[in-house]
Amino acid sequence: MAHGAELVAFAEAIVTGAQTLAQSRAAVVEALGPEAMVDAAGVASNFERMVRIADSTGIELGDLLEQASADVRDALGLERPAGR
Amino acid sequence: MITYEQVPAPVRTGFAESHQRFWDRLAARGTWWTGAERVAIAAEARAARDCPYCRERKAALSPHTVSGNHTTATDLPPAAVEVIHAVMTDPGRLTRKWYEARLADGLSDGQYVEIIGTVVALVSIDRFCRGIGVPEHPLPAPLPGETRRYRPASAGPDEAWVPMVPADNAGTPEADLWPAGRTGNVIRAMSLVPDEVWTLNDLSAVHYLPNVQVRDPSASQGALSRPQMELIAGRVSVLNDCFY
Repeated sequence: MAHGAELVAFAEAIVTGAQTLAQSRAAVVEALGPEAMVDAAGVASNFERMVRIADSTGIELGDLLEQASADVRDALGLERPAGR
Repeated sequence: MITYEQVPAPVRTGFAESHQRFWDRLAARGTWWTGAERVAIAAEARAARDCPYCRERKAALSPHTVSGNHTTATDLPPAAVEVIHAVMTDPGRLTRKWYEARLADGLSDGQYVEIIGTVVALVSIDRFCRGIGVPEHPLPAPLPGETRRYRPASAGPDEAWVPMVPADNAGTPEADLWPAGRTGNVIRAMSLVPDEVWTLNDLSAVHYLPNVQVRDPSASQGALSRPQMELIAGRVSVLNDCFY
């Protein structure tokens, strides 16, 4: 994917608060433009919210998502640990 | 007023508008927490990142092997502080048993859900500020007013630890939260406090996509392609050790 590495590094820096944040932000601006940097920050911060909702409420995947993700979960060996 | 005009990059106006709407809600009376308590929840969420006990638990192989007390910034009840700090610093290892212990500590399920809604909205706005390189917004001054104490009549045991409004919400007062029968559990998760779903929808529509577009793989928003958006989403989820 075009400029995937820059986007991943930026997302990681946003989540972790790493000292590389300014550098990774500049890399996204250079690679994709300032609007893309803002939108990337928007998506990363959105999922900082969503993962906490999922993990703090114990939601199940739901029928539709369970069906849609079955192949991927099977391939990756992903199953929710018992007790959650 | 929240503004991003000082940012040396174009920021869609929806960001400031939706963040201001949450800031206004944050200060006002909630469903189960007063305006002062809601602002305190936000203050405690920000303080959690400097809590030594949280850092120690996060680093431990199991959080249950660490004992201690949180370094707090507010006078919120200990059960509320535990929820706030845990959701902020180590959400991937929360369990049903932990949730039930919070109820046993005296929190109601509605109070719990409203804490979650407040914390997660705040963290998304704070992380956005971090991402674009601006300071976090000062917390608002709380407003007076009694809590609403509204509980959806249709909410009940479901595919989660917390009660939820059924996916088929047609004909209920919650019918405007999602199209009847068509939504993911991550949207229903906070439906015990409908205002939290309203905020979630409002923020997500700007940060990511309107909910009705999420399942359309061709949908995107802004300057990123959908695959680029999902790459970021997936990476953030992995970093947070999120199963869902």
